[in-house]
Amino acid sequence: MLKFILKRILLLFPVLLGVSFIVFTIMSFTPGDPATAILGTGASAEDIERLNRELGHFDPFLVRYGNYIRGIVTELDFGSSFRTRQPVFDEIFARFPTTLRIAIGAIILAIIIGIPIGVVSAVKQYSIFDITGTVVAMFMASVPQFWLALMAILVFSLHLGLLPSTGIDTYRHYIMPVVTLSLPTAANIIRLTRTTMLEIIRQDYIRTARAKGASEFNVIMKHGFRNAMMPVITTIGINFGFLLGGTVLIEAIFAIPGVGTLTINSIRTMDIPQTTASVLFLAFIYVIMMLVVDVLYAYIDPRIRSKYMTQKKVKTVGA
Amino acid sequence: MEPRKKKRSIIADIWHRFKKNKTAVGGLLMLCILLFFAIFADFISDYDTRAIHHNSQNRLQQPSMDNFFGTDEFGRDIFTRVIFGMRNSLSMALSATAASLLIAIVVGSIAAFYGGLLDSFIMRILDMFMGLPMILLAIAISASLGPGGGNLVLAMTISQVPSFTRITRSAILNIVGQEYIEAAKSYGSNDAEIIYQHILPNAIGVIIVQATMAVSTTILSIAALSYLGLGIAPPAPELGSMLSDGREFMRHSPNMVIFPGLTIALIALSLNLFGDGLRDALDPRLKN
Repeated sequence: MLKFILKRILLLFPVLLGVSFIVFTIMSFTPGDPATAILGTGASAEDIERLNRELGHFDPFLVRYGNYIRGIVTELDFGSSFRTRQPVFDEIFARFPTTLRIAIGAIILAIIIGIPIGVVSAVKQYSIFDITGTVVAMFMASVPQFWLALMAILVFSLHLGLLPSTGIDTYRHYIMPVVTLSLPTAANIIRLTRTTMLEIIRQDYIRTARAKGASEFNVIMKHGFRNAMMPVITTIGINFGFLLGGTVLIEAIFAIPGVGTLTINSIRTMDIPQTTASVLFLAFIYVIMMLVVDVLYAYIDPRIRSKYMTQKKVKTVGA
Repeated sequence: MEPRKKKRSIIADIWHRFKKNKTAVGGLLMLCILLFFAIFADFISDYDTRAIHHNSQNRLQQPSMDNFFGTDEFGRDIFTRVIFGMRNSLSMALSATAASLLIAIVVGSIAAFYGGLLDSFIMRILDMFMGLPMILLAIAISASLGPGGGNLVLAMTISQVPSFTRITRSAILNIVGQEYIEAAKSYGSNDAEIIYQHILPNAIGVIIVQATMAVSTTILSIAALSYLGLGIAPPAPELGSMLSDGREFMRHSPNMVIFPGLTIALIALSLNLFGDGLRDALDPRLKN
């Protein structure tokens, strides 16, 4: 198990390097030059020229990327924001807790809503509960998240005056962002749990469990649900990625000072180092989440682990 | 003549199964109605006078017979803007999906068919792209290229290629292992023949279903990017940017945000329902 985890962690590095290369490449297409962004258009041409040279703007692309990576590896230096002149990660770390609280809150809420509804829908297939659940889930998966957020503001802040529409000072500020962020994910979890459970409750071992005289609750929870966990965990992991992407929008709508708004603001102000670092940071969290999912997968299902082991063995024998 | 006749019966068979699924037929019907409005928008309303022309006497009107969805802060008819915006969103989503599908089919079938080093090389590159959540990748690309319809389509295309390629590759891998492929090889078909005549026709079902669903997520992503100001330039209408324009006036003119959002939701919903039904109809084994 430890070996498996270590191996997965080692595999992270090439992926992260690749992600950084992709993001750096994309950002290098941004028009304009760093010195103008830092000094403003009022600065003299010589000053701009000199600062650009200092910053290595005229170096070939690969040299710039190499320097960027060297800075990260040797000094953990991701560059400084054009706007604040502070190291980019100062701001990211200051804002990250807010984003994390919203994302984790949303994923937990989505699990709490999604799994029970999915299980009950499958057990009581074609009942009123099932049909309502499926239709609502379908609708939730199709509604644009940020529109849902706007509608929530319209109803709960502007008309009922129950909840604050912007900022993140008290726990009441968290309610609307977390709920709107979680609903599409909850819908995905409902749909997947239902399909998986439907497949599993038709398996022979479920009939065996019933024949043994296990109570219906035990049959469903112990024999059915445990086996349905695998695909559900994977979607939760994948959905966490959507959630991280979604926080960018949700934060923009509720004016929440998180990493998402930071990304959008730095895009608007053409602050390239800040944008690159924020996107890289969100991607890093996503990749870590995927790793956790993989490890959980192996932990819950010994079949995966053994498959992983035998595959390796077969390969070495074949070679 | 022979194989053609057979092909028709397969499609008839799929249609027969699809017809039985009421929600899927509902989705298809809804999709047709929305497409009707998008395609014939020119005949239904006038773009120049109603969608982009400022009319300050007619600001922020409530829905009426003259303006079905009311008017916005410049006195433009929201209904007209919604149908033209729908046309813009749909054509962007369709072209992005078609382009990424084309790339994915070529790359995916090469990876699956040749396997080995080439396959691992392609897959490792895809892994790197998959390290970025799709919407984040799209935001990064369109942020760096600047706002605009073409750039948005390019951003959506690039960000969809990785997951599409994975899906086509695994769909094709399932088929490469089948005996009839070996048979085709044994009687001397060349690689291109095998891919185009034997593999793709068998994998296309899965790919079409994925594409239908992808158009729906692309519509949502395009709306999101436009909301953030990364879409086509104003005054051209786009559903997502209409939402961000309407936000300011939401309290007194909620119709400015309700109708464009509802339209996005309806497009995505009908595509999802249709895609679900198509999947069940194409592969009866998946239906319980």
